[in-house]
Amino acid sequence: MKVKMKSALGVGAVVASSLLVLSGCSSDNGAESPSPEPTQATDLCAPDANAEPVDGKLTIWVDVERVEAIKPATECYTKSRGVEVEVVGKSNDDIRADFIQQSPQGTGPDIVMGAHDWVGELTKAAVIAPIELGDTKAGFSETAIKASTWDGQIYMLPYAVENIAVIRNADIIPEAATSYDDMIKKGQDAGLEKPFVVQQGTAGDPYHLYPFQTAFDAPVFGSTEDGAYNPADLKMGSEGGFKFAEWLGKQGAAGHINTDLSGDIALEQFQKGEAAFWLTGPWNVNNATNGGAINVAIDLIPSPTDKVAAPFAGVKGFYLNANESANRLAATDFLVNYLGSEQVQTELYEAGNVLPALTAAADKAAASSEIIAGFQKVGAEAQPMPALPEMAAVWDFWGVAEAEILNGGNPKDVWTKLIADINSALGN
Amino acid sequence: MGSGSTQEEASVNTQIDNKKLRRQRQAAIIAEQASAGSKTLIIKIILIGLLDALAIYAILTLWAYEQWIIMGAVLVTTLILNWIYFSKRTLPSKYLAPGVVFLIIFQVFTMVYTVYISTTNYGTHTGGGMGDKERAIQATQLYNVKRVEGTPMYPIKVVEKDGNLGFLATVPEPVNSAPPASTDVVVDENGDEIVVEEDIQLSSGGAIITDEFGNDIEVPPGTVLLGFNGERFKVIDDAEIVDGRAVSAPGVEVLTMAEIMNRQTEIREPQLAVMFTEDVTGGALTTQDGQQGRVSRSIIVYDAETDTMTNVDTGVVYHDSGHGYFVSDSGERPNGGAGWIVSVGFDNYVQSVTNEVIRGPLLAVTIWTFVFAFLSVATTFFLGLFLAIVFQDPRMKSKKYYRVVMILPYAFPSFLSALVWANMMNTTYGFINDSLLGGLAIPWLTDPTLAKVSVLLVNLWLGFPYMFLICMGALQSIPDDVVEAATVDGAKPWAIFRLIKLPLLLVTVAPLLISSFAFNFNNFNLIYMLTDGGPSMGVSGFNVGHTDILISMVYKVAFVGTSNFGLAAAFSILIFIVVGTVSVIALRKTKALEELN
Repeated sequence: MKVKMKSALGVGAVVASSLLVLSGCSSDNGAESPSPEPTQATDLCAPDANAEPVDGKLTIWVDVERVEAIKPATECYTKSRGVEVEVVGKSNDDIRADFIQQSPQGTGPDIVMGAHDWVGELTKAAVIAPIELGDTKAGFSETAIKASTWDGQIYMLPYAVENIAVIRNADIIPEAATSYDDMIKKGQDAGLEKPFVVQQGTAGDPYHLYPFQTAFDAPVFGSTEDGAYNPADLKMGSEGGFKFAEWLGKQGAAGHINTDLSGDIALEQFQKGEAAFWLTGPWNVNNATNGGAINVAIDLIPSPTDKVAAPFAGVKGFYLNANESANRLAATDFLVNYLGSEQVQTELYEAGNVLPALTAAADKAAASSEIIAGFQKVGAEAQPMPALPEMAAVWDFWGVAEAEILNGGNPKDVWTKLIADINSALGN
Repeated sequence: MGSGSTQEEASVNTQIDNKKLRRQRQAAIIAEQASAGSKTLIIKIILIGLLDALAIYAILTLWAYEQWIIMGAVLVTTLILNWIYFSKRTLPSKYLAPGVVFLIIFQVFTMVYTVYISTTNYGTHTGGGMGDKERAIQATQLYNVKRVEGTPMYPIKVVEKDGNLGFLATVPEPVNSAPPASTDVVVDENGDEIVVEEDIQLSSGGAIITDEFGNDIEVPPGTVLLGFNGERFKVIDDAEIVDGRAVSAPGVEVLTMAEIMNRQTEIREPQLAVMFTEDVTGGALTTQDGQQGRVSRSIIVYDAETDTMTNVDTGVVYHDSGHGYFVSDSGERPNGGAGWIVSVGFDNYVQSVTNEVIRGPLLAVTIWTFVFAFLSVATTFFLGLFLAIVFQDPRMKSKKYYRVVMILPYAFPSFLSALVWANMMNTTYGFINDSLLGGLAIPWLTDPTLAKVSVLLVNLWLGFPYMFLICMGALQSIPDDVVEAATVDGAKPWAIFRLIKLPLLLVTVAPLLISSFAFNFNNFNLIYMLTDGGPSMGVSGFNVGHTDILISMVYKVAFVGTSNFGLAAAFSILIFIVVGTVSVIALRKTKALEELN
C-alpha cells in the first residue's frame, strides 16, 4: 500500500483513473463489480430528444469546497432535462443551522448537502423528506445505506464515505504495525519519542479515539434487529468500556495521547518527522505528504487488543427539503437518477477525491488509488456515526470525560459518571 | 447653511403665542430660502423620488410574498417620510426622521422581536417548533408516507386522458431477496395454518387488483395496468411494449419528461395516486421522480375537522396538545411528529430561575460575567493610567517608540490575538510553557480557576492600550496650576494623584469606563476564540464552561447542538436589563462627579 503521493494524487493519477474508467478496465485483483451495468452505454448527459423549456429551477446548497466538484453533475442535469440548477456554496459551519432555520420559512433550497449524522436533528426539525431510492438502493455500500436510513426510510442520497485510518510515514517506518504496542515500539526503535499522533483538544475528541474503544468491545450503542443503533442499549457502559478507560489513562500518563495535541500540532509533528503514525482522515492525506515530500501508506488502525479497531464512518450526501414542494419531483429525479448513477459518482470522485458511496464507483476509485483503497479497507469494518439528535450532548460528555481520563482522572470514576450523564441525556 | 438659525427660529415661535402666526410664516419663508433653493429642491425631489421608487418596489415584492404587516409598515413609513420632507411645518422632524427610522429598524424592532421570541418555544429542542402548524402537519404526514414492505418498484409512464393524469404501469417481477409482504400466518381452531386474506397480496409475485366486478384478482408480472388519479388500475392488453415495459397505449397521451417537470406539483407523491384494490390500506401507486412508481401508503392521516391525527395501523388518535405538538391520550407523540411555534408566555424566564439544570450554571455564569467585566475594566484602566502617568513624566525618553509598542495590541484584530494567545497557552506545546518556562506544564486554559485568570490576562493585554490613550488625553487636560497649588500646599505625589488628579480624570473618563464595562460584559470574541467557554462545567443537559460569560452561553443555547431560541432570547433580555440598569445607575453617579467642577 506504499505509494509515492506526488504521482498518485497528481494530475496523472486523475487522467489515469479516468482512462481506467473509460476503458472499462477492472482492477488487477480481478474483483468484479457486484452490480450489472446494462444501462452504462447511454450517456446521462445527452440532451433529451424532445426537450422543451422547463419552468422549474433547482437550488442546491453545498459545502463551499464542493461547489466545483458538483458543477459537472448539475450541468449534465440541465443539459439532459432542461431544468436549471443553481449551486450555492455555503460555509460548512453554517449550512446545517441555516437550513434548519430557513427551510420552515420557505426560503431554503430544494436540496442540501450534508453529513449523515444530521439526519436525526433534521427529521426532528421536520425539514427533510424521505427519498425512494428504488432499485438503485442495492448499488450502494451497506454502510452508506445504513447511515442514510432513519426510522426505516432513506433520507439522504449518499455520495461519499469517509473514515479515519492510520497514515504512516513510510520513509521512517517501512512496514505496517501489527498492534498498538507494536506501533509505539516500531516508532521508538526508529528513534521517535512520541511516534503516534492523534488529534485531541481540551474538550477531548471521542471520534478520533473511537477505534480503540471498539477494540475493547465497547461500541457506543448496541443494535436493534434491523441493524440501526439502539440508544437504550448503551454498550459503552459494559466491562469493555471500563477496560478502555483504564487503557486510555495509561496512554495519557505515557504521553502517547495528549489533549494538548490539536489537529494543527499533529500535522506539524508528522510533517517534521517527529511522529510517524497519524490517526486521521482522508482529508489530511495531502497535508501528510507535505506536497509530495513524504511517502505515506494507509494502514489498518493498530489495535490495542486482539479485536479489530474499527472507526466511525461518516457518509456525505444530499437531503431533500421537506418544505419546498414546487420542484420536489425534479429534485428527486436529480438525486436518484443522476447523483446516484455510477457515471456521476465516478465524476464526483475524480473532482473531489473522496470514496464514492456507490459500490461500483468505489471499486473503480479504489483500483485507481492505493490511498483510497487503503481507507476503503479500513472502512470495511466501520459503523456509521450515530445520528440521534441527542448525540450533540453525548459527544460533549464523552469528549470531556476522555480528556479528564487522559489528564489523570480516575478512569473508573470518570467513566461511571460519563455513563450516567449519557444515560440522562438520552432519557434512559 | 442657515439651518441653525432657522431651527432657533422654529423653537422660538412656539414660545411666543401672540405673534405665532406671523412668525411662523416668516420662519417658513426663511426655511424655504435657507434650505430649499431651486437646486436643493431638485436634489430633494430626486432623493425622495428614489426613496419612493424603492418603497414601491418593496411594497410590490412584499405584496407578491403576502407579507402584509411589513408591507403596511413600509407604506406608512414612506407616507410619513414624504409628508415630513414636503411639509413646511415639520422642520425638527426633518432632522430627526432618518435617525428615528434607523433606530426603529435596528434597535427597537430587534428588541421587540427578541422579546417576542423569548415568549415562544422557537427551536429544535424537544417541545420546540421551527415553523407554523400547517407546515408541521404536512411534515408529519410526509414522514409517515411509507412504501408498502416487500413491494417492487413499478416502471411507469405518466399519461393524460381528457385532462386526467394517470399511470401506465407494468407489473414487475417480484423482489427476489425480500420476503413476501408481512404475511400473517394464523393457526385456526383445527390446527391448520391459514394466511390472513388481505395479506395474500403479492405473496406470489405480480399484483392484486380489483376487477370491474369488484373481485380481487391476481395479475402476473408483465401485465400492463392503466389507471387515473384517485381511481383503480385496469388491465389493458393493447399497450406498446418495449423491453418488457409498456411505453404507450392507445387513447392516452404519454407525458414527456419536460411535461412531467412542468406539472410536477400535480404528479409527485402524494398528489397523483392510483389504487390497486378497493382496500385503501393496501397502498396506492405513486411516484417521486416521474419514472418509477412505488406502492406507498400514509400511516398518519390528518383530519382537519377534528384537528386530530390518526395512525391508521394502530388506531391511536393524536390531538393538539396546546403546546405546539400533537400528542395521544397516553402522552405519546406520533412518529416524526413535528412541532410548531406557539406562545409559552413567560415559561422561558420562569425556567431560567426554577429549572435546576439551568439555574446553577446561569448563576455561576452571571457572577463570573460581572467579575470578568469589572476586573477587565479595572485592570486595563489602572495599567493604562499608570503607563500614561509614566509617559507624562518629562524625564521619560524616546516616548515616540514606546508609544508605538504600547498601541500595538490595540491595532491587531482582537479575535486574531485571542487565537494566538490560545495557542501560546497550550499546556504542552504552547510557547509560554514550552519555551518561556522551559517545559513546565501549567494548565493555563484547562484548569477552571487558572483559565479565568488567563482570560483576564489576555483581556488586559488587549484592553490596556485603549485606556492608555484615553488617560493620556485626559491627563493633559488637567490644568497644571491645580497640581502646582497642591504641591505648594505640601501635598505628597500620592495624595495629589488620589485626591486631585484621579477625581478630575474620572469626570472625563467615567462614561468611557461604563461603556467599556458594557462592552466587556458582552465580550463574545475573546471568550469564543480563547477558551470557547471551557473547561466544561460538565452539567448534564446544559453545555456550559467555567469561563463562559452570559453572551457566549446564549450563543451555545441558541446555536450549538440542539437550539433553543426561546430560552436564548430570554437570556438576552435578562442581559439587556442587567447592562441597562448598571449603565443607568453608573451614569447617574457620574453626574454627581461632574459637579466637582
